[in-house]
Amino acid sequence: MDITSLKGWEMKERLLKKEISSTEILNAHLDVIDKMEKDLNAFITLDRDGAREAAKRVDEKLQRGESLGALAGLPVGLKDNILTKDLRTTCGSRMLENFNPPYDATVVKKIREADGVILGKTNMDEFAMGGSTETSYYGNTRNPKDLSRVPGGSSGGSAAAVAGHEAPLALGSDTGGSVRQPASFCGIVGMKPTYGIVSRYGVVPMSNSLDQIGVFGRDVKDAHMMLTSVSGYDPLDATSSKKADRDISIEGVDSLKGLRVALPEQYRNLRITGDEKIQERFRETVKVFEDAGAIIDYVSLPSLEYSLETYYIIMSSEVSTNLSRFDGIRFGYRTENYETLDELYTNSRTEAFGEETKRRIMLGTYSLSAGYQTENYKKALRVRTLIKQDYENAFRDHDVILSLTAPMLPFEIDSMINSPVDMYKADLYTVPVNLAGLCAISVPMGDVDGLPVGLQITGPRFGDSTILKAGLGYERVVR
Amino acid sequence: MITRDQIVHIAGMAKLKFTDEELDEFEEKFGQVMGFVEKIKEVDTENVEPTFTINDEEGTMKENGESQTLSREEVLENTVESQYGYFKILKVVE
Repeated sequence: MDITSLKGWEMKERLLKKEISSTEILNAHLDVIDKMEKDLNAFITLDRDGAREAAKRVDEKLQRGESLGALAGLPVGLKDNILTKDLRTTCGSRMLENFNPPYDATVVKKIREADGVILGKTNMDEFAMGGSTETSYYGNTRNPKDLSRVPGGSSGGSAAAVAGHEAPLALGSDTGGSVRQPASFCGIVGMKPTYGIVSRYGVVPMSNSLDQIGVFGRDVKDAHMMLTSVSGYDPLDATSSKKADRDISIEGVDSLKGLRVALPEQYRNLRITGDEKIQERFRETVKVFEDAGAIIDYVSLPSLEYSLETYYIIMSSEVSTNLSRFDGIRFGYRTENYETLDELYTNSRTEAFGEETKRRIMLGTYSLSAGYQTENYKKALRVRTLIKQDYENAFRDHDVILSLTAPMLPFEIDSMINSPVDMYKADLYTVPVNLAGLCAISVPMGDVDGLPVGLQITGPRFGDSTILKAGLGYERVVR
Repeated sequence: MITRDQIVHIAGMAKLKFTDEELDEFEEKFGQVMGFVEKIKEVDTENVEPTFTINDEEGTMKENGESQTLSREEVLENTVESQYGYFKILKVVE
């Protein structure tokens, strides 16, 4: 039996029945890593020793008959913007090449407490900026489904590790689609939960009002198991919600009967070159929902048309202020070439940030600069209110919204990076979800030209249970 | 349209430096992105309140007192240069 072909929850079941040990689970994945990692480059840093010790502790607990946590003995990959005590955390940047965090992020603490086995830190676009994992300082990650293509991004390393059977579970972060889009590109499940239900404490911020930790698994049940292991109210995160402790249950569902589905009118007319077959696949998927008893309805969300622009202004503004912490003094890269303090700041930042990061810092600095601020940034905050209201209206009499996750197939490595606007457009279906703080999950809906495509199921704030159940219902119908 | 002088000025505020070739490329790509976000201006937002953060719950106050902290060694662990238990920087006042 190949352990790595099992789902995470199946591995856990066998572990609890003592059919396999945590060490065996870990070794099976390390074998895959030894074979595949030179092609995939899904990890920036592997912690083989730490993982072996953690697995051993789980096995000892099991032998002593102690009860085990929700992630019992399961290897987990962590996006490299999640702080791990004494384990290098780079954010895919030269800036943090030698950064060893002095503390664990809350989600890392929770994984350890749940008896998960932290395997290492996964590759990502620099500071989570990008949709292909090509802006990483540590080389690009390849898509396990087709090695000539990108895995998506920015959490491309996590998605590739799970799709490539290097880890059953992984965490990513999703600011505008950075979990869902790579899940779609790699043919796995990726979920961005409701803003505020997973702590951001110890996650290097990119855009605070949009960032959310998200989860990867090879099916919905795994994504649910990963999510419930890390969610919950955290007093250390000021944006954490008190409602985060509510139960996120997937019990008692096996059909899509009666599910009230909304399809946004605005996506019906939205076309991107080359997306015809993906759109066709989507129509077939909607038909699957309809045949299974879901009630399909078109709704209008007029402000969606401005979501990309709104997103880019708000995101880059928050990026420019967040990344001002990198001054070359307290942590991070310091230039050797300086005579004044100003040169120390400027040369450290100029030498250690990549091109896309600099571009977004520049755009954000411009948006927030005197004279321009009201016109651009505050305007975007008001449009954000309209987007939020449109969704509230849609969810008044619908349970979920269905759409594509990404309007494109995983593209060839090096083919898109020189066209930032095209790359941004790929985020069209995912960014409004972050602007409104909603939850959404990407579930595989088959292949187009042999490459995976994802269905995005969006729910209202705190509707995490609803979208997981809808995803589970869909998985069961198509199985 | 954004001028080269403006780009250099913004770079100064952001503490970034660009070579002439980078500025050429930057001017073009930055212009593309700026042009694309302009579209937002056509939206009517009269009487619409801004959304700074999505969470509508009231902020909570922390109990006054020491909760968690890092040791001096931990804080200094990732700096390039420290002295007498402090971050060491250049002299900025004479």
